[in-house]
Amino acid sequence: MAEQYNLPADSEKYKGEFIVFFPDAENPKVLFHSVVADEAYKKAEEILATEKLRPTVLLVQTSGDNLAQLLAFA
Amino acid sequence: MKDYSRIDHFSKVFYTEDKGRHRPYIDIAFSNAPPGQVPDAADYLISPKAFGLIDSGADHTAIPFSIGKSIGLAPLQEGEKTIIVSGIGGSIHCVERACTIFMANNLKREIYKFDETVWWKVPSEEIEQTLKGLTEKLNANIEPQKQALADTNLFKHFQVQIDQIKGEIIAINSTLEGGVLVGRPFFNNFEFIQFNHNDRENEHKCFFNYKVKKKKIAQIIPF
Repeated sequence: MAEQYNLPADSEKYKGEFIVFFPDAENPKVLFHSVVADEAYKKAEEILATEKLRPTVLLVQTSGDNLAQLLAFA
Repeated sequence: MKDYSRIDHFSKVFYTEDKGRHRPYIDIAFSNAPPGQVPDAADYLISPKAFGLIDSGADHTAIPFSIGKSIGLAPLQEGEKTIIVSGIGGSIHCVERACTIFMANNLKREIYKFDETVWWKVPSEEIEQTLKGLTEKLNANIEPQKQALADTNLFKHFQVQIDQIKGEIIAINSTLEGGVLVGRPFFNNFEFIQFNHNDRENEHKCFFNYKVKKKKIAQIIPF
């Protein structure tokens, strides 16, 4: 297991898409990608069932305008 | 020197890299498990693992629409008032929901369950219907494109349609998603959180320590 959990190195090319990956792998790889959230979450469930490991689903932001940070000012 | 790894519910976490920046995140998941009980895991839904951005200045823990939907949080009810959060770049609508938070302590190989509430980003019914319609339209173009030969006008026609629909879906998603924000109330569950952030030029070496209050943990699951 990696000492810290990270994004796949090529995540930039999936801007605007939900990616499914294992963040605590040494070199995380994108296992699935889709603009449709439901499809990514469904794939994550399938991976959990077969790999017995819970993956991460993350929307790769299209810009730095991240609403999580926007909320921080609320 | 004190061996902190021997302290119960203590962990040391390195910052996570995101596009060349390193930030403090915790390994976190959300669930519709009922509070105050320890039901069998088969009886409730757990989200995929998420990066919880630590923002102890935020007043709430906030989660994106897709995570709340994946664990079956109660959708926006007719007549229910939303909390409108405005800021740089626009405004979003949230509803408050009871929600179980699971936090992984990778050092101790333990998962802690906390009974919490979250602000869940939700779309209006109109936006949700639009999103559903766009998804159906997208699939209605992907399937016939698979039957068309590459480099033909028909194939390109479907590609133009697909790209346009994807653009519309991405625009909607950008307002409903964003990251998971772990706000100040969650840190009521902690004895302390201690940031070792002393060199901006070497953020990859930065880390934080925390210790969770034993009495705040609803359940501990080894892994």
